[in-house]
Amino acid sequence: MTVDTTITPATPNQTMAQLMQFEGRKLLTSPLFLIGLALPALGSLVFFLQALNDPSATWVVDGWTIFVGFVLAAIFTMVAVNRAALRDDREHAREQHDALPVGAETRMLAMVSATLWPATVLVVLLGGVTGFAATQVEIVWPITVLRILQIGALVLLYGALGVAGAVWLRNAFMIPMIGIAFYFMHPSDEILASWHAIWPFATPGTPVMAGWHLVYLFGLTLAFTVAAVARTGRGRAVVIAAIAAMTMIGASLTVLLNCPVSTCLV
Amino acid sequence: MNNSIELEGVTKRYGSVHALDRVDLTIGSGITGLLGPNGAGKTTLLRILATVLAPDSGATVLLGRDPAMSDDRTEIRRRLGYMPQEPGFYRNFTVFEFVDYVGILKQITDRSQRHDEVRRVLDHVDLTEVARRKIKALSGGMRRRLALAQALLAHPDLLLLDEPTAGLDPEQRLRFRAVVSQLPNRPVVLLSTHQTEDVVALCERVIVLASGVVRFDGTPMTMTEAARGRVWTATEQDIGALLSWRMGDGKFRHIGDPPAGAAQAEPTIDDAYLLLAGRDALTVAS
Repeated sequence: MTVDTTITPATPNQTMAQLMQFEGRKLLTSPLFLIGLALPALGSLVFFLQALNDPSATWVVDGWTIFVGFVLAAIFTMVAVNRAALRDDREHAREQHDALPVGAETRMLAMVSATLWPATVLVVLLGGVTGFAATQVEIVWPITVLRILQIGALVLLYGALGVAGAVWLRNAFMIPMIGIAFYFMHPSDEILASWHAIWPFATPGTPVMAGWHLVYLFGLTLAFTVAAVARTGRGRAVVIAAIAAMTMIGASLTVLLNCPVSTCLV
Repeated sequence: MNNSIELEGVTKRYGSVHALDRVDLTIGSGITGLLGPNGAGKTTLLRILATVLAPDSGATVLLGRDPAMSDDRTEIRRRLGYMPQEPGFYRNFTVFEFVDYVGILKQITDRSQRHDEVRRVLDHVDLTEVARRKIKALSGGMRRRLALAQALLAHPDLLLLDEPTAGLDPEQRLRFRAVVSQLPNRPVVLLSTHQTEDVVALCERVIVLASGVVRFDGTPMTMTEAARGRVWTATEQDIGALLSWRMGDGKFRHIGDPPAGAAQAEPTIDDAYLLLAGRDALTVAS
């Protein structure tokens, strides 16, 4: 029996886009991400109700609480991405997937890129809450566009860290520990001039400094992405990305660690 | 298009153990059975053909391409279907999602074409009704059919099946035979199994592997004939036989070198297998 079995051949970019969409959808329905999302969503809901019922409400404590909720959502996203990246090992599916034409490095890169989905959801939610607050209450503690973008960047960074952790540690325990460690070691005095200051700040100094903080976050994201794919893929693109990541991290840290106190502090 | 696999002097060692020892094989279109006791090297051979394991030495050409070359390997994988001995599944995915995911990894990126293909293979293995069910809720037999479904995606030219009927009930095994025997375009199918009935029912050629060496290569009929004259029955157990067992009628069936005057019995492929695989098979049988 002869049948026409022609399957439209795909380009690497098409494969990547399809994988990214697939993984993105899976991430958005992941119980861990949904738990993380529930934290800022509940905080936002409480603020909505308070703002609607109390004309004297201000955007101070509520804003900060909601903001911390978003950071926790990013950490939950990291654990969700880490678990997704570990599923080949957990479910003993590595061998059959290694016999398929799409390599492990593409699968990991798609996993990192898929973090764009939860990042977008969280940025839209934070943008919506911020916009609502601006129309309803006195804004004592403003959330700027740069700070909203920093939440998105933080989710991407944690996503890349989750995948890199899965690739190199092959262990579901380590990444939640790293997330918790980041949470507790974060500087509490609102100073940007610290190498481990990866969270968006309550007041991120000048817009220029906030911009450099974004560059730092994207540099780290790129570095972890390189780490996620470098175990199986060591092409020229990986080397170029590694150099770009080091440049971004080096330049941003140079500025941030040497910033004048007036632009670094609250 | 070259639809064959060629192995020349392929050797694979695990420490001091030869999993494969200078194996030479050429396999063309059609279904070839691979028989052998546990540890014979069957899975190692299939893993090398699936491009997930490289041989220590020897030459391999799959579908006219060299799996040692990166571009060739990718092209082989596009045309390959592989069902490993112990397939892994993402238990929290639905059946449809899982096969769809494998479809993306097979580079079928046209979404509607891929979904049609997923529906086709699920229908082929009779899993359409559970397509929306989570894999963790499937029975063992359903999971093996799911593993077969993902291997059948995109009409592979080379289909490697490692013990595909293990754990299937008789009805599912018959259905499996129907699916594999009716594959379009006559791909190269290599079926590793312990089920000699499957080999007789499906394969036009059979290879017996033991201790990493090819012990037989021919048709199931010639394999069976190789045991003619070496199977006999008697009322008493013969300690000189390679293997004996008591049958339902109370007589003993013996395999080995018969004594003079022994009542010859019609050989089966199982008899031939035990003779060919020799001590390795008997160790497993005992």
